[in-house]
Parts: sequence; C-alpha cells; structure tokens
Amino acid sequence: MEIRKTVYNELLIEVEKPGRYIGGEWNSTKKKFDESSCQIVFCFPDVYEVGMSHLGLQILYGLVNDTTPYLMERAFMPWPDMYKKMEEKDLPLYSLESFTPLYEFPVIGFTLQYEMSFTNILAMLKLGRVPLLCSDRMNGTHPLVIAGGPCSVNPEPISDFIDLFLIGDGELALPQILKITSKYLVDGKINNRLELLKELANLEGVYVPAFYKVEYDKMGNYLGTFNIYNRNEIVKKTTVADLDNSYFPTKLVIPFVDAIHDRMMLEVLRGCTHGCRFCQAGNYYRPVREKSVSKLLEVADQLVIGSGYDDISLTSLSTADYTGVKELVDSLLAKYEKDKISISLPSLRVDTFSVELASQIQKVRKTGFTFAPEAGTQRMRDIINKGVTEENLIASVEGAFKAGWQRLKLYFMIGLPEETDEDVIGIIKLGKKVLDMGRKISGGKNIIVTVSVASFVPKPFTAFQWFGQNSKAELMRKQWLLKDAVREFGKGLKLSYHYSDLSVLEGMFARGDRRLGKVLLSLNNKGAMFDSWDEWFDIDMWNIALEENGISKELYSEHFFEKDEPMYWDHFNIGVKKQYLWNEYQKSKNLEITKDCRLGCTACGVCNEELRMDIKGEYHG
Amino acid sequence: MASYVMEFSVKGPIAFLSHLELMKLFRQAFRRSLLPISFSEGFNPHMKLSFAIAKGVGLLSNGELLEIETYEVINEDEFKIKVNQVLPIGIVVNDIKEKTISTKSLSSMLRKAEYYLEFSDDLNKDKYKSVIEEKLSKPEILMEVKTKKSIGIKDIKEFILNWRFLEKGLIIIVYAGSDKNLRIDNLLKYLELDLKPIRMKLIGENGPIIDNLTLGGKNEI
Repeated sequence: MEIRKTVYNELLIEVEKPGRYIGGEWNSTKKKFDESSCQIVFCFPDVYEVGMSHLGLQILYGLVNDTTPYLMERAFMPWPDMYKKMEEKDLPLYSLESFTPLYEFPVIGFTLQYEMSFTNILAMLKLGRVPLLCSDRMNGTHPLVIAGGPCSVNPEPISDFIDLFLIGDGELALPQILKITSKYLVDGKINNRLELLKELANLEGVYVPAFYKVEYDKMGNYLGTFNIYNRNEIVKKTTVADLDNSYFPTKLVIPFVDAIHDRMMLEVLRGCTHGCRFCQAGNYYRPVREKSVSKLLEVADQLVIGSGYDDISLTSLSTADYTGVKELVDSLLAKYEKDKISISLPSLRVDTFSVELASQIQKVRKTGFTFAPEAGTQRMRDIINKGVTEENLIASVEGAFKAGWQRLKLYFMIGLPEETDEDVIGIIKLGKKVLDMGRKISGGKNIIVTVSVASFVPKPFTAFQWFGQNSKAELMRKQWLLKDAVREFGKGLKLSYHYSDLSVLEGMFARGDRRLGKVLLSLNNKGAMFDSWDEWFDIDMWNIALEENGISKELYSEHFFEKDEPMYWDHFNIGVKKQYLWNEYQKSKNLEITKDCRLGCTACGVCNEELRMDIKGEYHG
Repeated sequence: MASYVMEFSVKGPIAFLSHLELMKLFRQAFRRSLLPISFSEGFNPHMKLSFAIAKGVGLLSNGELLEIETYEVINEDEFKIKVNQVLPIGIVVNDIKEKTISTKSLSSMLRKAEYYLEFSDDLNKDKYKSVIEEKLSKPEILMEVKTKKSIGIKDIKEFILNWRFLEKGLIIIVYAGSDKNLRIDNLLKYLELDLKPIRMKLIGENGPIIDNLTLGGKNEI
C-alpha cells in the first residue's frame, strides 16, 4: 500500500506520461495476489507503450489469469525520468496490478525480443531488488527468474542472470512451470530452489543454464556446452501443434496511454514457409500453423465487444500467406463496416495479391504502403532466397500507385553475404525506378518514396549463422555509397539507415557466449538502460565496459564459423536441422534458390509425426 | 438523433491521464457499451463526442462534462448504468441529461468553475485560513502567467469570483472557458500552501451547465 501511495502522491506529477505507471486498465486482472497459489510478474524490458503492443504478453496474461489458478501481473521498464525518481525515493519496481515489488513474486518472467534490451533486464531486476546473478539467488528465497521469446534460441550472453529459459511457444510450458513452482512455495516464497530447478529442467523446452557447463580449451577456443545434471544434452523447442484450438485472449488489456500498436490483434497463423536465409523468426516459429476462419471470426467478435478498439490487425509473419485471408477480410469488412471498424494488414508480401488486398481494406484513406524487397539486385535477392523478382516488385508498386497510394516505404539490408558495391548501389537504382514510376502514374502528384536500409546482423538458426558480420567501417562505407548514389542519380528519394554501432553490438550478442555476461554486469554498474533507443544509447559507455572485461565485440560479430566449429547454441534444437541450414548457406553462394515449402517439402527437419504444417485451405501462391 | 451531457467524476491515479488519453478512454468505453452512438459522415468517421474543458493532469474532479450524440433516444437511467459498466475504476458518470439546446457547444456555454481546495493538514486549519484570507483579500493579485508566446505579470484578482471557507477547506469560484480562464494550478502556486484541489462544478451563464441544457434552463423544467 505504501508504494501505491508514494507513487500517487509524490511521483506521478513529476514524470512524463504518468499513465504508464498507474495500472487499472480495462480488462487488467482483478485476481487477488494472496488468493492465487503461484504468482508471476511478466516483465517487458522496454517502456510501457512498446510492451503493451506485444501480442505474446496478452496471450500469456490471458492464459494464466483466465485458465489457471495462478496469477500473472505486469511490469515494464520505467522511462529514465521515473527510474531516477524511484531510486531517489527508494521505491522498488512494482507490478501494475497489485503494486507488489518484484522481489515478492515467486516467479519473474522476461521476454527476450531484441538483444539491445538486455541492459534493461538487469536494470529492472536491480530496481526490483532482486540479486542480479543466478549464483547470488541460489541461497535464500529469492524469486525464480525465467525468460522466453525469440532471443532465447541463444540465451548464453544473458544466462548468468536468468535461472531458466523457455524455448518455443510459451503457452505450453508456462502453466506447467507455475504448477511445479507452486508446490515449492512456503509462505509464498521459494523453498528448496535446487530441487525445484531440477524438476523444472525435465520439462520440454526448458533450459537451466546452471546445469550446463561451458568448456573452452587453453587458448580460449570454445569446445561446447555440456550437461552436468542428469538430463538431455540438447534442449528441444516446444511447439503448439494445434494453434486453432490453443488459447487466444478475447479480453485484451487496453492501455490508457497510446501503445505503439494500439489495436485488436488477431493472430491468423504462426510460422513462415518462405525460407529467407537471413530470417530467424522464419525458422524459430516453424512449422506454419494456421487458424480457421470460423475460429478467427468468433474471436474477432469477442475482441470487438471486449476492447472498444476500432481497428483489427491481422498479425503473423506474413499475413498474405494465410489461406483464408480473402474470406476473412471479406467477412470482417461486411460484418463491421456499420461499426466503423477498420482492418489493417501489417505484414504484406511484395506481390499484386497483397496490393489488391490492401486496396480492398483501405478504400478511402490511403496511408503509407510498405514493401520489403530486402535487397537491391536480383543476384542479392537470390542469395538471401527472398522469392521476389523485380517484375513482382514493379507490378506491386504500380498497383499501389494506381490504387492511389502516394507514400511508399521500401525496406532493404546492407552487409549481406557476397554483397558487392553494385548490389548496394542497386538499392538506390531500384528506389529511383519506383519513384519515377510513381511520379508518372500520379501525374506529378506529391509522391514520397522512403528507402530504409538496415545493417544485416547474422542470427543463430539461420543459413547465415556462419557468416561474419560486416565491420562498422564497412557498414559505414556502404552507407556513404548509398548517400552518394542518392545525390548522383536518386534525387527525391528519402534515405534512412541505422547507427552501425548498434548493429555491431546486436551482432555480438546474437552470436555471443556466456563470457558476455560480465560486460552486461559492468554496464549495469554504469547505469546503462534503454540502449535500443538512440537518445539513451551511449557507445562510449559500452566501449569502456567491453575493454574493462577484455572483450572485443568484433571477435564475436565478425567471426566466420568453420563448418565443423562448435557454435554457442549447438545445445538447442529448434527443429530445423543444422545440416539443412548449412546446405542453404552453400546454395546461397551458388545463387541457388529454395522454393517456398508449401510447394513441396524442403526437408528442413521441423515436421514429424506429432508436428506438421497445418494449413486450413488452398494456397493461393 | 439525440444529444446527451454526462457529468462525471475522476478520482485516484486515473486522474493522471492526459486530456487526449481521457478522450480515448471514453471513445473506447462508448464502443464497449454497444449503445447507438453517432458518427460523423465522411471518409474518416468520428464519434460525435466533445468535452466542456480539458482537465489538467492530476486534477481530481466531481464535475467534468462531456457531450455525446446518439442516433436513437436512450433512457437516461439506462444510459448511465450501461456506461458505468464499461468505465475503468476511478471514473464514474454521476448524471446524464438530454441536451436540447443544440446550437451551443458545452465549451461555449462554460463561464466559471467551482473548486474545493482541501487543506492537506487539518491541524493547521487556522493558519491555512489566515494565510488564504490575507492573500485573497489583497487589492490586486499579481502573478506570473505563461501564455503560448510569453511570460507576463497579470492581475488575476478579477478572475476570482467568490470564495468561502468550509470546515477543512475552501470553496472558490473562478472564471473558466475560452473567454476568461484561471488555471487552478496557477492560483495554488500563488497561495503557496499544500492544498488538494478538486473541481466540483462547471458553470454557465445561468448556473451549473448540467441543469441548463433545455431552452430556458431549469426554470422551464
């Protein structure tokens, strides 16, 4: 009660957007802390508006609170102004529902969405008065700190701080983890922690770093990560086989403050069949599992009534791939037109089908249209297996301009394997072609084409996991090439790109090992937070922390792995076979493409007797 | 087509939402209520919803006003129950009345606002009273007022219309609205006392706006 009072009386008036810190949102749980048999606080290591846009949070929150005897509350990383004020007032980080400090929860769960949020995880634990290191939590009744999400496929860089990682879909293992933990609670606190961890380690998809020993040779070369407790050497990802019948929340928590994605989210499918060689999510979420149109319509109805939102977003990695997309969009439009509810498709492919779909839902207001050709030349697109030809792109763009769109955004990457300067300049050439076409079609209307160029970061469990990232200098040189090209022949194009320092650090963590933990600890001591936000990221602080610990970020980010060289994430099995990924890597060098696996199995290894691709209708190509 | 005015209170942490956040909250609540709310015509339909005046961040209130149009007539009691069912904790609609003076918006009707300024420490209420008495009785009350463009010194004496003490606080009526407006936080800054303000009532030409929504005002009812 004291925390709530102090926050209300002394802090809210002092900080930006106080609505982030008050809880009480529509549909937030009314379950009582003391009346549930185990409590978890879901921690999103970024600011409230980002965290509340995350569908995974809404799914797990609803699942635990609606279908189990356990309780899930929420906490977000306070913005630096609030963080500082809480330190000054000696207030611990609290959950938004019951204003309970983090250290009083038996379980604390983080989601690992992007590498540069790792410093926020430590900052949240510290403000929540939880010892940062697993080893410091071993004695006593400290909370169990768990984590899941896409970055958990290589959790080693942050494994000094997390007791347990959950690899795969969280819906399956999380209720089991809470159930087992509830048996170990005495007066709401964990008792016999070691036995608890041993029991949890037997669950599928669970990785307890303390039970695995990392070995290096005398030269510091990595030898492998070995199980030291009676358990499988390899941790296997858990996957929901029947997504259509798995839990989906119909009562979303509605933030008062505008979230980044502030709308109903209807997940139409999970996974992706395209097989882009750079894409980690495409491998991690395999196989593709669709939901049925009838189920989705039913859920949509409840979402509309329960939320008050006026926009339904059909989410997935590639919504145009959903076999029921046409039927679903038609039905939703017909059903909700009178209620003035709009529909949005956030992830479209580069093809005319997608443009037609988008035209159908945006009959009147034509806001921006985004395409992701990813690379500027056909050669490069074949290397990354982005199944998009220039004809696809030109036809799509033509369709978009003819349908009345005036603002187009094109996403590209630089620093890809086998990339030449011609490929880099090709980005601007392609962008210019698009701009010229827009101007021609619209008859000189105000056409805006933005070329947004990210720096490629090789990720574990992709065909490019062996590839060493471009150096900062090389990335910057390529950014200069882009700028020069715009000046030379791309007049009128808008160009945007990222800080290469951030890309290099992301690369270091993505393919990093346990030795990076001490860097995170140093950074925490220096007060690092919000490093994925340009205005808070401080490269000097990072360089000092790296130097203090004798770590070279380039040795990680620029490292080319040999074929048989052990990788820091070899003790995880996400289904897709390493040999398949290696073959894909070799094929990329020969400009060989691999077809969408809906058109024929490409033997990636993920499907088996219990788990297979689950498509509800005819594939429309 | 009908138009309704709601008087609602805002209590607790939810008072820290911005005006835009409060508007969004009501838009969403009206959607959840499934009542026949009207939308504007055109490419970008909007709920026909407006407020008498923005509420400052953190300010508690017993008397905020909003106007909402419906395409069917709704029984006022039923309307109140249904809306209160879909509002989050801290916001309660206390009164709903149909508005028949359709030509005037709430903001154009607004003239004054009544506040209750509660003493934070009631042991010292005599001290509170003497300080307030002294400061409000001065012939002119000069204070720094920030406008969009500049900071100037202004006499706000004429903006304070009426005030009187209650047991543990002070009731004060000041100008409010687009013509003349005194922000209560400016007055609190001048008083330099620890006072908790609550907005009690929004008042028009002929008394509380909520009582004057039909032609001729309350006299006609």
